[in-house]
Amino acid sequence: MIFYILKRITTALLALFVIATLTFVLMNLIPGDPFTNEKSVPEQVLKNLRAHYGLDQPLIIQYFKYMAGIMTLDFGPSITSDTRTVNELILSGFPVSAVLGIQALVIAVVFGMTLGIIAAIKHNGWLDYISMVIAILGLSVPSFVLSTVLINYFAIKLEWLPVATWGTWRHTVLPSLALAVGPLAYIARLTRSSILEVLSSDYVQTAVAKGVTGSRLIFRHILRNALIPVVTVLGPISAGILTGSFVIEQIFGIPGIGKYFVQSISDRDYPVILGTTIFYSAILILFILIIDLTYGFLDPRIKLARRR
Amino acid sequence: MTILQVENLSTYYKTDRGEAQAVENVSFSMKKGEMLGLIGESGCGKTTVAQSILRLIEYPGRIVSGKAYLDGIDLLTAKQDELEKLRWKDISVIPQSAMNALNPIYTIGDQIVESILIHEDVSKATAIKRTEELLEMVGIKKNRFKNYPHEFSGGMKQRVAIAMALSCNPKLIISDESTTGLDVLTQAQIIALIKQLQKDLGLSIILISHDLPMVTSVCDRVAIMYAGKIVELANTQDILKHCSHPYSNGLLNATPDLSNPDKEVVSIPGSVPDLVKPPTGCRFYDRCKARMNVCKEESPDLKEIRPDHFSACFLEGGGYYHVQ
Ligand SMILES: Nc1ncnc2c1ncn2[C@@H]1O[C@H](COP(=O)(O)OP(=O)(O)O)[C@@H](O)[C@H]1O
Ligand code: SF4
Ligand SMILES: [Mg+2]
Repeated sequence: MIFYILKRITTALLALFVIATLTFVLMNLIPGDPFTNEKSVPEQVLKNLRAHYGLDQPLIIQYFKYMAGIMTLDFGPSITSDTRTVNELILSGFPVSAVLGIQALVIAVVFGMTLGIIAAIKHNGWLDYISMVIAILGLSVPSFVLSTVLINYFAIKLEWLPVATWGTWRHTVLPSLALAVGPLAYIARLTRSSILEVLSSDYVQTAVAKGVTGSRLIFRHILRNALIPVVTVLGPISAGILTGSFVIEQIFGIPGIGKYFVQSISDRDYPVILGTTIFYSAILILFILIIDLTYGFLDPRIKLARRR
Repeated sequence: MTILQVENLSTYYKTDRGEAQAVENVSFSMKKGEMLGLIGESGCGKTTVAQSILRLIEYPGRIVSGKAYLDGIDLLTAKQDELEKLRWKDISVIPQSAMNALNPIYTIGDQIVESILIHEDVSKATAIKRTEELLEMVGIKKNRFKNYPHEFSGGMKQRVAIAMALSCNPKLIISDESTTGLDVLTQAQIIALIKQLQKDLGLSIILISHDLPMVTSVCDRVAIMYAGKIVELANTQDILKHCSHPYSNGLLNATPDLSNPDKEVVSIPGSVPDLVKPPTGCRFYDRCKARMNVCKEESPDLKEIRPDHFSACFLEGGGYYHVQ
């Protein structure tokens, strides 16, 4: 087990190295640099700026310098917000995104699974149809439409909750909801189809023939099997939710890190592009590892320790 | 002593085109300690009969009518809680595909112990001990108690399924195509094991299969089904020597005989009737070489043509003897 985790961490570091390198190459392949748009700035100033950020040096030197920085977890300065470093951006934005993300995740998992379970049990009944209509709406309505509807209704019309910005817990309710709906719908659909599959399986029929009934049948013989695929997708879903959403953070005026993923690219803010990409990848890899470890406990067919 | 008595069982499945009469008016009885073979082509309703007796038929299926007395209790009208107690305690199954019939996430030992603990008021230690004995009985070392289904081969999983079926000393065991999907050698071993256990423990078993030589090699009696009905029912020897119903004859002629390689294998021409709109007369009419006018109009009932030999055919004497 320990050996397995160590091995996974080594692979993860290797993967992060490859991701950093690829991002570095791709980023430099995009024409222009961080200062291309600064038209009114004199040539000499631009030159000084480029020199200040080391952009005048050969790419290979830039690359090694950057990699050396990463080794000490230093992602360099942000070019757009010249006073702050990438580390500072992530450290100030991530907790905000993470709070929203965790709330959204709890909502998505709890309600998604409940909806999926109800739909599966009432298969082809009206509760099933209602649940699945909700799920399809949740997957197909874009988050900016949903956010606007939520704000209009709960904040402006009913005045139950604040319209936007970041402050008290009440400020987190609407954006958490908006963030949760997509994953909630996805989890609901997956839970439903997974349970239906288990319900028609031979081993559930064996269990019924054995006289297994009630909660023992539902929890021991149906849900535990059915939730294995659901747990699998929780890795990528969690990583996605926790690292924020550009659209939702913009609409609600939330100082998370979601916006940096998009803005840094249009700004050609090289250190921020690299920093956020590596950060996201690290979180994703971490969650997949956690899920794989959980998986080993849920499904005996996966023997982690033996898969050296 | 009669252990199982099925009377006029009919089970239908709802389809887009109407109800398919998958099992129609099936009656048979079984003595204690007997091995009854239930045979017929795929789709003729064997599994539906088994699941009706276990009352495991679910939507779109429904049991339309009939009775199934197990030791005097009608399984088809028993109350739900009574039924749950009866299941496995009195009537257990060796499932159709043991490959998937065991839950992949629990050890085989756990799954057998579970069936004992549900039905019997014994300590866990007792249940574990009995499970180990059962495993040894079917040829699995007891130290494999804590192994998961995927750690066994198909034949071994089938043995586990047999041990599980035996776990509560049931009055009746139904084996539904238990060996399908296994290689021929393993099939033979599993069937031999089932036969051995049946003799040693005096079990009553319904053996469902589409493999005629296999069934006739181990069963005491054989019921032959065609398109949802039993067409012939007799002792194995009578089925082999005095096979009567035209369909049974066709089935025998369509089966290669290993001891007689010169035998000409003739398959039955035509195809099974649509069960949503079954023929009003004999269901075998379209394919029958001996059909008569009356066969088109009326449906033949199962009649005793010789002592303890039943056939459902309008021909004189309930059919013709199979020409060896
Ligand atoms: N769940 C179902 N829905 C609709 N039709 C079914 C269902 N199960 C079985 N049938 C139909 O009932 C008939 C008998 O099936 P089955 O009992 O499985 O036959 P066998 O076990 O002899 O192969 C077949 O025609 C099959 O198409
Ligand atoms: S009843 Fe008529 S059609 Fe049916 S098997 Fe007998 S002879 Fe053939
Ligand atoms: Mg079948």
